[in-house]
Amino acid sequence: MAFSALTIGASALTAAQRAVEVAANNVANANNETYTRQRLTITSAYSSPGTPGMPGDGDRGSGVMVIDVGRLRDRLADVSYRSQAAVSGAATARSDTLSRTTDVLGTYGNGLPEELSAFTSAWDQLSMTPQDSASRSSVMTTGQQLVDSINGAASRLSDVATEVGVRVGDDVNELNGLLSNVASLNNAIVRAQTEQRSPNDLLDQRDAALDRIAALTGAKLDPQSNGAVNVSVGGVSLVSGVTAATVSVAAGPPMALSVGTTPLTVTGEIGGYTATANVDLPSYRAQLDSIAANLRDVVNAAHRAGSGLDGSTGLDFFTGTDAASFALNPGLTADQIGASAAGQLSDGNNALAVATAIRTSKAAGGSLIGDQLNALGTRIGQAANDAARNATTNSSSLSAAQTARASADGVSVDEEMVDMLRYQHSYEAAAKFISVADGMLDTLINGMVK
Amino acid sequence: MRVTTLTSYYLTSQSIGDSLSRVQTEQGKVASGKQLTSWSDDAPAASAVERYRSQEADWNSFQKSANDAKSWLGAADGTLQSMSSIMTRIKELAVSANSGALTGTSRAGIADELDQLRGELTDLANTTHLGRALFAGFGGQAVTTSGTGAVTWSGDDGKVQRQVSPTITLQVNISGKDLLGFNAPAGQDVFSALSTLSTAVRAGDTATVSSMQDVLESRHSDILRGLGTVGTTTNRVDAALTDGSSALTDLASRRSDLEDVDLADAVVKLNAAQAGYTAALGAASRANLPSLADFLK
Repeated sequence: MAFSALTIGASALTAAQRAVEVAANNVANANNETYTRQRLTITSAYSSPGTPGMPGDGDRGSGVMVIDVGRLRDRLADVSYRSQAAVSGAATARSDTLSRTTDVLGTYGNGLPEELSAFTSAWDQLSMTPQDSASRSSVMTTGQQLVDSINGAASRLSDVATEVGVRVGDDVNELNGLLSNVASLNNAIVRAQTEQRSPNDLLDQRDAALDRIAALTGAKLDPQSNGAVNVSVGGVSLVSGVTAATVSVAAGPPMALSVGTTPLTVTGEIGGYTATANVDLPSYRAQLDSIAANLRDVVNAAHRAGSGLDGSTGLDFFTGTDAASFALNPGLTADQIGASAAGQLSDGNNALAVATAIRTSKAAGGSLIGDQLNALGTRIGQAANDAARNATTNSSSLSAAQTARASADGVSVDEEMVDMLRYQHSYEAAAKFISVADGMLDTLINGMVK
Repeated sequence: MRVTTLTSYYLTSQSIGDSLSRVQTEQGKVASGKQLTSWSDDAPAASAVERYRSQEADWNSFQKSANDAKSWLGAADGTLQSMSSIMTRIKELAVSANSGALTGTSRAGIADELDQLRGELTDLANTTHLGRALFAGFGGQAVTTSGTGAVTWSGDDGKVQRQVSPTITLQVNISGKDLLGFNAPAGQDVFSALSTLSTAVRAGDTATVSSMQDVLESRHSDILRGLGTVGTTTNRVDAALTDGSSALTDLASRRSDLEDVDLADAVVKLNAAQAGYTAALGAASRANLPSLADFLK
């Protein structure tokens, strides 16, 4: 009897020690964002069977047994956090890209629309003083500024596309690192579970990697019964057991992702960047190209009718086929600007006609050049504004999901302290009954001999 | 909700970040005095402001043209007034030349004055404004005097135009051809008529003098018609200038409504945001409450 009490006491001491260890480990990781709180699972140890047919000799308990140190992970919180992370990643990427485009038309209040006004006013001035070389060079200078700004807008758009390309490249590199990380963690976890160990730290590491993969791509995660997690996007497998695929990116345009030869369509942060770069930026550029072409056609049509101080007539003012190649006609000198309608040197009526054409010509597309610029500015601004608002909303939802998950998985120091007290008391009690059992043995062994 | 170390950290850092970004937004508005500093601030308002700005630029340009038009018209008005008084004097001289009892010397005196007035008219016809002939269309000179003293039309029909409002473009020059009678039948322009008159006065040819009186009368009415045109055009330019300045005031105030910050409102909002931030910081400093660990011995 007394011998069994000692063993039971020993099992209680071990369990209490392990429990305090686990609590200490939890407290130590209270601020570790990837850590999942752990809990000791205990059960009563196998009882020793009583003697059959002997009343009063039933099964006897033999103490307590530690089964496992488990993670208290809330799968539902994970799922909602990860799906929100993908949505929020896409929204943030879109907002990040579009916020870089808001200055495409130059500083607000001092950009392309204002330069168009200055260019038109220069033609007004030229119509009043067609022989004045200052008025002529003012038309050239304001025209050149307009050209510079339109070229600048085109190159700003392609710069943004390049910046996004670099960012996607970095993200894809990170993704590939994470995928091979998950594959090797799968391998270690499967082995550990086969050996019936609890690979809690490996699981935490893998969850952190899966969080980031979900935020980058919106990937679908598929846990396997052997402990591995398979990762796939749009039916294309990225991690299968211990094998990781390598994602490659073609800079384009359009930017395209693939695994080997299989095209890959992702959502999440990478999806947000590629969609914005492939859809919005080219459409802004097309609108800018059409504005440049309309401006060129309107000004040229009016300008060709006029003649310059040297009698030249029928010359183009602008050349170029799109916003990037838009330029002043390099063959046109200031004296050749067609200010005169009838050919006389002091006639400025064609300059007036050019100004009127810029102000009133409904270019291809049925609207004025100024309105077209305004429409592009509004569109860019509105899209950036919407994207920013959407990103803010989604990142609040993400924070909420993150907090909800931290609430389920995180460490509460108070709880751990309570556990510590609990097991401290159980340790003290076990120590006490070991000493009682010791006293009983002492009585039995030493006391009887006397 | 179960409170863990991380939940209180997440909530605290989010609320501090949010309230600090509100402070920054409000601070930017107060500092710049503008609530629109980018197309993305409020795209529809930004678009309206850009439209106002471009209309203001156009109106400023039209105002400049209108002022230039006024200076043309003013110069033409002065010149035409002088021409008109010369014509009045010429008509008086013609009347007195035909009043009969005149000696050859008196007639020669009248003819000399007529010749001199003709010279003055020639100079007035070639008046320039800012280096450009007022009545020559786009030509350099309205009339040219040949070696023999004959004066011929050397201008053209060019119309000097100024756009004075989005819808009004005005001709600001007076055609010298109409004004001086070069559209009338040969020999009836003001200079030929004056030569004929002066010759007839010298010769005492009363019949020719009286026929020339009629011609000169209609030349005078041409000049008066020119003055009338200048007057009407000046009125239209003045109207356009008034329209322009009220449009500019209106546009500027509409733009300001959309673009500028109501400073009192913005400062109040900034103070509220700062108070919010201070509160968030205060809350954070109290969020790390003592834990059970502090009470265990």
